[in-house]
Amino acid sequence: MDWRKLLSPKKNVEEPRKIQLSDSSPPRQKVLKPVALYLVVPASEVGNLRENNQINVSDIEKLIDNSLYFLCTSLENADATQQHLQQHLELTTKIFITVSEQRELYIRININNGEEMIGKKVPYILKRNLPHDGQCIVKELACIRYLSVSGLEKFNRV
Amino acid sequence: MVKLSFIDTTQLKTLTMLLQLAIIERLQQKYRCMSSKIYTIFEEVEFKVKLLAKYWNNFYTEITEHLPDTYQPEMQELSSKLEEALSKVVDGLRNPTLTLATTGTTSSGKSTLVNLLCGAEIVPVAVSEMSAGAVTIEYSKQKSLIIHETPGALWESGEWRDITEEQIYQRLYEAMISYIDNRAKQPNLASPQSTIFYPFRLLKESKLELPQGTRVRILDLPGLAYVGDEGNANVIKQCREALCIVTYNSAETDLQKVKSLLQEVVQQVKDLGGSPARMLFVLNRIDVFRADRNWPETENRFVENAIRSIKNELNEQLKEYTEEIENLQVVKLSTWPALLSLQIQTYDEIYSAEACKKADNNFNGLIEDILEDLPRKTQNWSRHDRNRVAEALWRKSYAEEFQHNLKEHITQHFPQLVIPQIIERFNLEAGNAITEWATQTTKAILNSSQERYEQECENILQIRLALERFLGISDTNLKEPFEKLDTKVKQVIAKQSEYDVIHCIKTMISDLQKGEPYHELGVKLSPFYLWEIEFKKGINQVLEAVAKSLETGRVDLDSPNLKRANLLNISLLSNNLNRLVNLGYTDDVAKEGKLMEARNEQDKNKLKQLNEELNELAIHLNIVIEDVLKQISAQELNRIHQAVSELFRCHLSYLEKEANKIAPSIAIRFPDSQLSQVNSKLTFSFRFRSGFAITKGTWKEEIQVAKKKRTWYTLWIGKKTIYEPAYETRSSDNAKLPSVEDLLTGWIIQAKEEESEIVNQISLWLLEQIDCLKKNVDKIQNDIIDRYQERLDKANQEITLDYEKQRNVWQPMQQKAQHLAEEFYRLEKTW
Repeated sequence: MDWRKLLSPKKNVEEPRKIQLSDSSPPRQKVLKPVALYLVVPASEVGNLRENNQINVSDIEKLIDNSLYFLCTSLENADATQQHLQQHLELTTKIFITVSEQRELYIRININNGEEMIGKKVPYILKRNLPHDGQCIVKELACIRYLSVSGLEKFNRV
Repeated sequence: MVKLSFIDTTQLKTLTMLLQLAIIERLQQKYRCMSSKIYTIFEEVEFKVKLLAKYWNNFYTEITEHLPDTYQPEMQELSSKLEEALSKVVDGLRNPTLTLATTGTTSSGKSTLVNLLCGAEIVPVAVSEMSAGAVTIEYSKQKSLIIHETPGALWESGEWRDITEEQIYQRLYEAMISYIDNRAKQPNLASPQSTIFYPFRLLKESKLELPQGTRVRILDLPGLAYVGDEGNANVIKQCREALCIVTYNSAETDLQKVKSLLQEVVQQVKDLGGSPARMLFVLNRIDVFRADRNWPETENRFVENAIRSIKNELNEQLKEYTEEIENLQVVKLSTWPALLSLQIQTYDEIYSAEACKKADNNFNGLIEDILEDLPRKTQNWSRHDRNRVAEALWRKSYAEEFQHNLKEHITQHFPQLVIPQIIERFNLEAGNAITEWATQTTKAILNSSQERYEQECENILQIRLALERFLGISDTNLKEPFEKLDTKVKQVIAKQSEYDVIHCIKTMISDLQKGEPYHELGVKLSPFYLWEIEFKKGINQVLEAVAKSLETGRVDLDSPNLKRANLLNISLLSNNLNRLVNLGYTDDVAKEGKLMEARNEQDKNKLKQLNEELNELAIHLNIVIEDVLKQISAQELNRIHQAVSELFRCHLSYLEKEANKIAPSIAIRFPDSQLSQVNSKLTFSFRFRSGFAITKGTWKEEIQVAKKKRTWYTLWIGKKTIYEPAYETRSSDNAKLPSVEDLLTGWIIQAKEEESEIVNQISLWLLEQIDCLKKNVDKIQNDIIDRYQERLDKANQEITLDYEKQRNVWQPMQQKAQHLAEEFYRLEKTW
C-alpha cells in the first residue's frame, strides 16, 4: 500500500511540505564537504591503526560502535576544535601500542564527502551517514591520561 | 668482620621455633611444586591450622603456670572456641564443594560438553540452546532425577529413582520443550529446574585427586534469556563460588554473528560475576577447520584470533580485571566427536552402534583414513574397528588436552576459591580472639604495677584520641571526593549547573586515587563510571535495531542485548514495527520524518493509526529498554559492589596497618569479610517517555467559486461564468512525523537526563556505605580498646609483679604472644 499517495494533501497553501517525497526530478549530484571525525575509543579497539594511513568504512563503523566519545565537524571548524584539544586534552604517550588495554585513545579521522555526518549526536546516524565512497585517513592518534576528561566537553558522550 | 651479640635462652627458643617453621614451609612449598594433587594443598592447610592449635595449647600451658585461676574461664572458652573452629576447618577442608558451571554462546555445544563431562547423553541437546532452565548434576552412584515444582509448570515434576540415561534425557526434554512452547503465551511461566544425581565421568576418570569427601556438582546454566526467572537467578548466584567453563562456537563464520557471539561471551562472564580468571574458555567445534586445505594453519590462525578477540572484548568491558584477562585460559575442543568416542566404547551394543553411525554420518572427515579399512555398514564394525574410530575421534577432538587443561584449571583455582573462606571463618570464630587475648593480656600484665597501670591508662586515653583522630581523618579523606560528587550532582539535578555527571565521577576517582592508600587500586574503581557506557551501549543497540528495521522495512531484532529482553515484549515490539512499516513509516519517511496533514476522513484515520502505532512504539520501546537495562544494571551493580568492596578492603587494610602503629601490641584487626560487606543493595530505576503529538489544526482548501464576469472576449457585453479559486477553512489533523533520528536523539537525551538521577543514587548510596563502614570500624576499634582496658584493670587488681619476675617471665611471654599472633596472621597470607 502506498501510504504517501493516500495521505498526500491536495495542495496546501498555508504551509508547504518540507520534504518533497514525491519529487520525481532526478537528484542533483551534490558535492559533499569533507569532515573531521573525532573519536575516543578503548585502546583494545584500535588494532593496527597508524597515523596518516587509510582506514576503511567498516573499521570506522566498528570504532564508532565502541567509541566512548565522538564529534564530527566540518574541516573548516576542525582547526578550532584541534586547537582546543591541543590545549586541553591530557595525553600520556604517543607510543600507544605499549599502553595497557584499559587506556583510552583519541583518534581524528578525515573523511571526504562526510558532510552528512556533521553534528550528528546518535552513533547509529553517524554510521548510517558515513559515505561509502569517501577516502578516510587517520590524521591523529594519541593516548589520553587515565580518568582525564578535560578537552572533551564538546564531544558527544556515548 | 663478624659482629657477635648474645641472646638469652628464650630468644634462642623462639629462633629455633621460627627456624623449624621456615624449614617446614620450604618443604611444603617444594612438595607442592612436585605434586599437583589438589588434596595435598588442602592437607597442608589442615596441618598448618592444627599446628596453630598446638602453638596455642603450648602457650596456654606455659602462661597458665604464671596466671591466677581467675584467668581460666576466659582461656578455656577461647580453647573450646578454637576446638570448635578447628573441627569446622577440618570438615570444610575435607569435604569441600567443587562446582563446575557451564555456560556458552548460541549453538556452542554447551549441553554436549555437559554430557561429555558426564560421559553419557543425559542433558537434552536440541532444546538447551533455547535457555530452558538450569540443570544441576550432583555426583552420586545412584542415578535419579528431580524436576522441581515451579510456578505454572505444565510438565510433570517429581522425583524418579534408579532411572536410565534415556529416561533422564526424555523427562528433561519433555519439561524443556513444554516450557519453550508455552513461555511466549505465559510470560510469567518459570523455567524448569532440575537436579540429576549421576556417577559422572569427570570424577571417575579425570583423576582430579580432590580431597576424599569433596562434593562435586556440575551446573548447566541457561543461556542468555533467563530474564526475571527467580529459579535461574538462584542457580546463577551459586556460581559466585564456581569454576566456570564458557563454550564458544568456533564454527560460526558470519562476521556479524561472530561479533554478537563475542558480546554474548562477555555478557555471560559478567553474569557469572567475579574474576574471569576462574573461567576456562573452550573454543568448541574446532573440527570444522580440518576440512580446510590449509589445516592446521587455518585452525591455528583462528585460535590465535579468537583468543585475541575474546581478550579484547573482555578487556574493554571488564577493565577492572585487565591483569586476569591477560592470563585467561583458552582451550580447543570438539565436544560431539569426543562424546561419540566415549559412546562407541561402551559395552551396550545398540548404544555403541548408534554412536558409530552418528560418527560416520557427521565426522567422516575425522575418520576417513580408518573408514577405508572398514565395512560400509557401521553395524558390521568389529570391536577393534570401533576402538580405532573412537581413538581417532578422541584424539582429533582434542578431548585429552581438554581434560588435562580442565584438571590443571581445577588444581589452580579450586583451592583459591575454597580455602581463603575457610581460613577467614576460622579467624573470625577463634583466631582473632586468641591473638588479641594473648597480646593484650601479656601487655596488660607487664603494665599491671600501680605506677605502670596509671601510666598505661593515660596511654590508652592518648591512644583512643590518636585513633579517633586518625580514623576521622581517614574517613574524611575517603568521603570527601564522594561528597563533592554528591554536591555537583545535586546542582545538576536542580538545574543550577551543567556539569557532565560522568565526568564528575571520573574526577572524583582521580581525586581519591591521588592519595595514599587508594593509588594502589589502579583501575579497580572503574566500574563506578563504566556502567554508564554499558547502559548507553544497551540503549543504542536497541535503538539501532529499531531504526534499521524501520528504515529498511525488514524487522530484525536479533541483537545480543535484545536477546536478554522478555520474549513476549520483543514480539510485541516486532509486531508494532511491522505495522508501522505497513503504514508507510519506512524508507525516506523514517529517515527524514515528514510533516503530515490529513484532510479527509480516510487520511485522518490513517494518521490516527500512525500516531497510535508510534505512541505504541514508545510504550514497547520503553518496556524493552527497561528490560534490557534491568539486565545490564544487574551486571553493573555487581561490578559496582565489587569495586566498593575493593575500595573498602584497601581502606581497611590501611587503617589496620596504621592503627597498629599508633597502638602497638593491642592486636587491632578490621576483618574485611565483616566490614567490607556492602550492607544495602543499590538499585537503579528508569522511566522513559516518548511519542509525538497530533495537533488539531486548520487548513484552507482551494475551492472553485463560480462568478459571473464580463470578459474581454465577449467584448464586455455578455457575462460569462468563470471559476476562481477561493480558500475555505476546514479542520484537519496535523502532525510532524518524527524521523528515526529525532526518535533516537529524544531517547538519548532522556537517557542523559536519567543519568544524573542514577549518579545521584550511586553517590548517596556510596556515602551511606562509607558512613556505615566508619560506624562499624569505630565500634570494633572501641571494643578492642575497651577489652584491653578491662584486661589492664584485671591485671592491676589481680597481679602483683616484682621487677625481676616481670623481666624474666613476662617479657619473653609477651614475645611469644606476639609470635603466636604472627603465626595466625601468616596463615591467612601464605596458606
